[in-house]
Amino acid sequence: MDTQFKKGVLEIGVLSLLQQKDYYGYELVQIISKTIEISEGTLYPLLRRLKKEGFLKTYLKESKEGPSRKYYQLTNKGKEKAKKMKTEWKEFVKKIEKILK
Amino acid sequence: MTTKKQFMSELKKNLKSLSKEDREEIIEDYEEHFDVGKKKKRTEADIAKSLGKPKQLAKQAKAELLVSKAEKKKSFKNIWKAIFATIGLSFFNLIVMLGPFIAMFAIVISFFAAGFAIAMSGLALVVAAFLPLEFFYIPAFNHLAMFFGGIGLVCLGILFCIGTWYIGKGFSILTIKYIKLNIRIISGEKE
Repeated sequence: MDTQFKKGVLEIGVLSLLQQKDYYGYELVQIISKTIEISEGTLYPLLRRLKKEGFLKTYLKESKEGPSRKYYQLTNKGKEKAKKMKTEWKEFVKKIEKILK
Repeated sequence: MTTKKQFMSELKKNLKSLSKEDREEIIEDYEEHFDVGKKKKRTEADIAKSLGKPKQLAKQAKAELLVSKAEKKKSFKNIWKAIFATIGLSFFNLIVMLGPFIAMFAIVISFFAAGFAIAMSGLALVVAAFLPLEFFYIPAFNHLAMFFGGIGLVCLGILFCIGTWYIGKGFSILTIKYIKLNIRIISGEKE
């Protein structure tokens, strides 16, 4: 898949996953890299940026298997952004599909 | 074959210029990634390989941080640093980033120069208004017209410079947006 294309969907992918539940970094990376072929390390800068811009917050939670993990959670601002991006995305896809037919 | 230790030391080496806080956050993210991956029975080499090159990841992290810094405080120095860090991400960026920035910078500088020149010529006219008219050998000149014309030109020049200031501000906002777009496009490449 085209690189520019991938970058655009990463953000919406992360926000949308976090709408359902909180994830820790490794989980998020695995889910996303299964669908979108990216090097796994590149997702962390995106997560840090989204956190810096106030769309995400993080908290530490103990895990059964070892040290505590950093979980990512949407802030209110992030929830709004996720909703908005998804609507825009769906409208966009609809328009493109019309052309592709 | 890269081990976790090799990966982390390469990453740390390339993050030296960052603040301790930023550096630790970045390192912790990848440490955790390795730890969880190992719990899932993956080898260190496999995890390192799918993470990507630590040097490139460090560059990307640095570029992101410098851009958000430039966004908060849009000084020439911060924007320049952000551009430089983004250029470091790939050769392609050298042309794509530097070209438009230099063009915009040149426009702002030349507009300032034009404004300054207009103001200076006005100032010269104001000074000239106090000299005897014979000095110019142009009898049609009139002291009063020269004086007010000069003041008008000075005002025009100053207005020009103020306008340019806002143009420059707009350009810096545009530049930062453009850098961000570039980082997002370029850093997703899988090696």
